[in-house]
Formats: sequence, C-alpha cells, structure tokens
Amino acid sequence: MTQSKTGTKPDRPDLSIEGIRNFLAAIIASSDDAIISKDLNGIINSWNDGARRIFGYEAEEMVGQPILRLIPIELHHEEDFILSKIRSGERIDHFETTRMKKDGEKFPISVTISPIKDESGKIIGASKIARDISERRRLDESRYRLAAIVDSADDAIISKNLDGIITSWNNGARRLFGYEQEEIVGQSILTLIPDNLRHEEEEILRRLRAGDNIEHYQTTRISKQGEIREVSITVSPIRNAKGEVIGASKIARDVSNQKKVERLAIEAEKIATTGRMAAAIAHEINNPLASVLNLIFLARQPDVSNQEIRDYLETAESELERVSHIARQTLGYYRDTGKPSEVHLKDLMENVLSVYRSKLLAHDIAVESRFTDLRKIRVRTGEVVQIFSNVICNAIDSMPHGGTLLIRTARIVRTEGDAIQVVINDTGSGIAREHLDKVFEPFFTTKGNLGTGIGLWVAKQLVERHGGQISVSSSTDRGDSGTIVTMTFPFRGAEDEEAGSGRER
Amino acid sequence: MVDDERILADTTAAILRRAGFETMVTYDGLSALDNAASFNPDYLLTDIMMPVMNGVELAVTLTKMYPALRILLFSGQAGIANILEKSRQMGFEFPLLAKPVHPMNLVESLKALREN
Repeated sequence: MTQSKTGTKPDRPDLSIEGIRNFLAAIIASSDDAIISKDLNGIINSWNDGARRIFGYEAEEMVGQPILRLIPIELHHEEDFILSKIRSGERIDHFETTRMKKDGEKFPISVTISPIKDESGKIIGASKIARDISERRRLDESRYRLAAIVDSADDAIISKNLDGIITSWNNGARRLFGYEQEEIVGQSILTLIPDNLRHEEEEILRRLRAGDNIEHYQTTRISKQGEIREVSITVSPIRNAKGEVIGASKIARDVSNQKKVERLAIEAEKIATTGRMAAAIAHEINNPLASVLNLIFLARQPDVSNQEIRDYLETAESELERVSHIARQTLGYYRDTGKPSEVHLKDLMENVLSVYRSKLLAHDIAVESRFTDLRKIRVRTGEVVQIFSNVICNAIDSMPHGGTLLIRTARIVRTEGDAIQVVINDTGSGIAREHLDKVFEPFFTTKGNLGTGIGLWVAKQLVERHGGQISVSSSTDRGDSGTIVTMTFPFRGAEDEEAGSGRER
Repeated sequence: MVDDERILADTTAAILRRAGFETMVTYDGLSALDNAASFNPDYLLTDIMMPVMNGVELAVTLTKMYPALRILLFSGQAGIANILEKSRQMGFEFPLLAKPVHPMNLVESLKALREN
C-alpha cells in the first residue's frame, strides 16, 4: 500500500492514444449490442462479440464478407440507401428493420449507423450498432393486446397513483361514470366518491400501501351527471420492477341492476311471507269467530236457561279474547317502520310460533323452546319476524310426518362484541350434502313448485343487514336426520348499519 | 262433526242437534274413524287442518266405507289448496264451507246435500 504514494493512481483514466484505444476496444467487446464496421463497399471489417451472439457468425466467418449476407434478399435495396446516406456524411438513428441470422432466421432489429472518417475527415466506412428488438416487439405486442382488452372491457378499469390521482381510464369507465379520458386523467379519484364516503379512499390507500388487494367491495360512486352508481370494486396494487407499490388498478362493475333485482326479490319475499302468515293468522282468527257465532246463536234460542246463556256468553267472551290476542300479536308486525327498536328476541320468536301454532299442531310437531336471552336487543322487528318465519316454515315443511322443533336463544360472549344466538333445530328430512352449499343462493329450492327458493337467501340478507351471521348444518341420515339453523345478532348490529347506511342505499 | 277446535265442535254439534240431526262429535280424524262403525253416519262435517289425519283424508277413507255418505268440509284457512288438489287428483271433490259461517247457513248447506 505504501507504494501507491509514488506510483500512478490506479483509478485515473489512461489518456494516451493507446489507452483510449484499449478502453474503446473493451467497451466494444463487452457490449450486448452488435457493433460492426464496414467500408464504403459494404465489406465488413470488424465484428464484435455482441454481433456473434446476435447473428450467430464468428468474427473469422464475417470479416471480409459483404454486409448483404445479413440482409434478407427482399431488403437488399436498403443497403444502397444506407450507403448513400453514409457517403454524404449522415447518420441513421434507430432504423428498425429485419435482418437474418446464420441459421436463416429473420428477426427485428434496430440499427444506428454512423460514418467513420479518417484523420483528414474523409469518410472511409461506417460503424453499425445493432440491437435485437424481438423481445421488445413481444412486450409491445402484449402491451397493445392488454390495452385492447382493457378498452373493450365492459367493466370500468382505472389506474391511479398512491396520491389517488387517476392515471388511466378505459372506455368502460367512460360509460359507467360519464367522464372522457381527457377530462379525468390527472384528477383525483375523489371526484368519483360521494362526499359521505371519502373516508373509504383513505382506507383503500392505506391497504394498498400495505400491498393488500381489495376484492368485490360493494359501495357507491357518483357519475359526472351526479347519478349514484352502485358498484363492486376490486383494487390491486401496481408495483414497479423493484416490487414497490407505485399505484393501483381498480376494476369497477356496475351492480345497480343486480341490486335492483335483489331489492325486488326481497320485497316479493316479504309479500309472500306476509301471505303465508296471513293464511296462518286467518285460521287462528276464523276458528274462534266461528265458535262465537255458534255461541251467540245458541244463547239466543228461546228454550235455554239463564245459566246456559251465561255459560255461552262467557265462552264467547274468552274466544273473542283469543282473537284479540292474535290480532295484537300479529298485526303488530305490519306496523314495522323499518327503524330498529329494543325488543327481546324471544318475544318475536313466540309471536311467530303463535302464528304457526295450528300448522305445527296439524303436522304433529312438538315445540321445545329454551329462551335465555334476558337482554333486549336493537333490531328491525319486521325483518327479524320474517327471518324466523322463513326458517320455521322450512322446518315445518321438512317434517310432514311430525317431529320436534327445538328453539334456543342465548346470549353469547365474543371478542368482537356480544350477540344473541338463535338456534332453530328440526328433526325433519334434512338437506342433502350436495345442496347444502346452495341453500343461501337465490332461487334455489328443494321443494319443487312449492318453494320460491328465496326464503333462506332473504333471511341471510336480513341477518347480514343486522350485522349478524346465519349458517346451516344438516344430516339426512335415517333416524338421525334434521337441520340446524344458527343465527347470531350482535347487540351493536342494527346501529352500525344505520351509521353506514350510505353504503346500502 | 269433526274438529280439533273443541268449542267449535261442541257448539256446532249442539246446533245440529237442535236442527234435528243425530250428532256424534270427535276432535280428530282417527277417533272419527274408530267411532264411525257404531254410529253409521249419513253426513260428515269436518275441519280440514287437524293433527294426525286431515279432514280430506278422513273424508276419502269414510267415502270408501260409506258410499252414500254426504260430506261437507269446513275450514278457516286459505292455505289448503294443495290438500284439496291432492284429493281432486284422486278423483274426490268435496264441497267446502269457509269458517266463520252463520249456524243457519251451515244447517242449510247440510240439508242441501240431502236434496242433491
């Protein structure tokens, strides 16, 4: 090391002619590009390693040969053009054409050709730097293909950077949101987000920075015309070559129609449930009314004693009380305003059971209930009655030859917040394993023409609107068959939904 | 007279007796079948939705035992269309009276069966 003080510094460039020549020779030898020189007659006089790799010829094979060997016959005229340019001292930059390898394969190439001058400035030949661009062509093609797919997609496909600025916008986005690409690219994505949902964007950006995907997130966006669009969006991070997240691609699908159909189906099922319950209620009311008519008729007969008259009227009175009770319990459902109220779930369950009392009796179904939910819960009562009614009707239909309906309600303690769990367990025929996955799908039924196929689906929608969950397990084993429907209603569920109501509607 | 609503069954029977019918009351289909032999009925007035055996099944069974039996179904429920459809497919069609019905109309409906 002490020697270096007196010797030349090793990292200083050697600026002698010899040094520069060596330096250039090293660059040429190590270049990935083909570097070839030729004279003005088109005869090759140097051939580097890059040329060997790209064209497949060794230097010995090519030096002294005409450059035309590399040019497909149909393009030989190009060489005349190139040589004429060179002779007049012009340079040709990034000329894209086709050349031929030793094995005859033609491939796309980009060439830059410069004149070589001698010390007097006279042009004596040309240097040619050529790059194989087959790979770039392939990338270009796949990029164009992707662009075409993106543009013809029905979905809106948008990209944005991490500041939420829109960087690309396809035709689907134009159709869905009404903005032209020119007016929206460069604008903030917040342009599309309703004011009350702006917090969503922060959350989306936070998750993107962490590298997460967001899939099928249902929300609402707003079009240029100010119309609400119900969309399902999937957002994926875009990464650069180093793997860093630099933005996001966002695919938005218009689900307004789907939502409309879902809402109609829920409405239709509400009407159907109302119809089913009305039929059951009619039975409960018509029987005592028929008795009352009979009792009054008997009391009016001339030959009955005062004691008999009193007995008839007393019985009539208690039958009328039965009617009033049913009316109070059942007609109350339809006063449901859709606003959550504080109730005991067991009361709602008992109301539903009283509606189906004679149906249960007629089918010889025993009801065992264990209600241990002592705390009131905030729910939309009409919806919960509908949920219970749908599940109990299924249970009754599955036990045409009698059975037991076990109903439990209990408070459960969970880390994510306490809830009331409702379990409805029948000893009916059960649901076949292959059908179990589908029971919550709309229009799936195992009841043939008798089922609408949306009872459980509606129940699921309504349970989820309360922030709860519903699940079904079932067995079709002989002697041990039956179905268990488990639902949870969190104490906070209905309130949460109120707060986030902008998302649902 | 068959109805699982006991008050309705009993009062209807009392009215029928006053109207001159000799009347036997049961509260379910199976006991109606059990007692039919000793009673030898001309008429059957029955509710439809009952435990164990519904009114239509009872009517179909008794018709086979007593071909001359005159039958009137009596129901307060709208959701019985499929039960009636089943009996219709088996070749049985029974007149149906909706509950509630005034006792006089009930008696007249039964008497009308005799005339047909």
